[in-house]
Amino acid sequence: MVFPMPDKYLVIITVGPDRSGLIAEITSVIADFDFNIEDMDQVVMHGVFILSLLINISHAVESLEKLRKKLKYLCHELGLEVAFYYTGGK
Amino acid sequence: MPSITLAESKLVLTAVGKDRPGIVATVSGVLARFHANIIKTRASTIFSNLFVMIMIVDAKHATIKEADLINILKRSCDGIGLALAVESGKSYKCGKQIIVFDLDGTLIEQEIIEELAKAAGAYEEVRQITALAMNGKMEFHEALKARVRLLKGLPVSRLEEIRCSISILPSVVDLVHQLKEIGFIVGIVTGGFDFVADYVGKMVGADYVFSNKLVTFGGTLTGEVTGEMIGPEAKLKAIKKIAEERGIGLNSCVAVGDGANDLFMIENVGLGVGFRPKLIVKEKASAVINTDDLKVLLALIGCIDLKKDVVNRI
Repeated sequence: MVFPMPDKYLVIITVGPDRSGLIAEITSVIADFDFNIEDMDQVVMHGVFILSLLINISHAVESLEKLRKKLKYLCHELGLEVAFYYTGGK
Repeated sequence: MPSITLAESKLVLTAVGKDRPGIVATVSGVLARFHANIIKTRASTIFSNLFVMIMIVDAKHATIKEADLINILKRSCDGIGLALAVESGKSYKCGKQIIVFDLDGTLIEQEIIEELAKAAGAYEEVRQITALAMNGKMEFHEALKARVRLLKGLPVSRLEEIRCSISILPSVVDLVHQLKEIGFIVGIVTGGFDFVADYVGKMVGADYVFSNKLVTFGGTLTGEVTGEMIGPEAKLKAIKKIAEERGIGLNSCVAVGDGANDLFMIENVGLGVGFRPKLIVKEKASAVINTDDLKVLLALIGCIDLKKDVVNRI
């Protein structure tokens, strides 16, 4: 009997000054990698943009480093701080 | 600084669809292009493969008119098979308590008048009039009268045969059951006829049924129709009647339909849902569903825990 591999997830949290277009910029990078966002929470607090994403990276774990680099660069451009947290399961 | 309130100027977007990469990017991409700002988002995969996303959007500084923005959002979502509802913050916040459905094409597969026409041997003529009416090219009450006239002489016994042949959409019984369980008042409003509407109402457990009656004489149809569901405003009037009786505002009503005769109610209640809609309805409804998965409807009108989750934090 073959057991399916448990899904692998990456959690991303970004914080910074709010403006329109931030979510579009960040999520389009993730979509370009064909990764699926399974959970998302976002809020603007006192003009500060806070976004957390749960991304299923199971289908291409090998591109994780590439994604991380791209997002880090993008967030820097957007004036956002970013943190990544790799989790094995959900 | 005041905390964020759901002022009337804010929009609440609910997008529901089969989970796949790119959903958030598509919706937020449209908003970004026109400088609408997303203030709050809650999104999650529920029922294992359905993605639900609720966004509170401030379109105050958008570069296009709100109505145009909504239309572009609807089209983009339609393009990726996503159901979308857009409501004003005010309407969203008051919650929904009444839901009314159109019958033919929404709760059941058939257009009953066409089944009657087949039995009366006038199918082609009736079908053409139906198509005109459904696409808004002919007044609905004129179309109804013209079609019923073609049924003159049909034996009443055939109505029973037709009633037995109708198929209620498989998920409808479940859906109505779930809606009632969470406290919804459920109505059916149709320009069609009581012999089918009452039957469907009983089968699914609807609280209200509004329909028309075919006039019979000596065991055959006379080609006339009576009832209160005639005229473009009839369905809305029926909803108002239910709402008044229950002491509930129109803002808390959901209307679900597919054709031009549903437009008036769809445009005038808190949330008008085009369910597998004709083009004219698709353009004007504030919510559009293009799959027959009625779980999507439940999520779209906010009957899942995710909404409670969001509301609690507003």
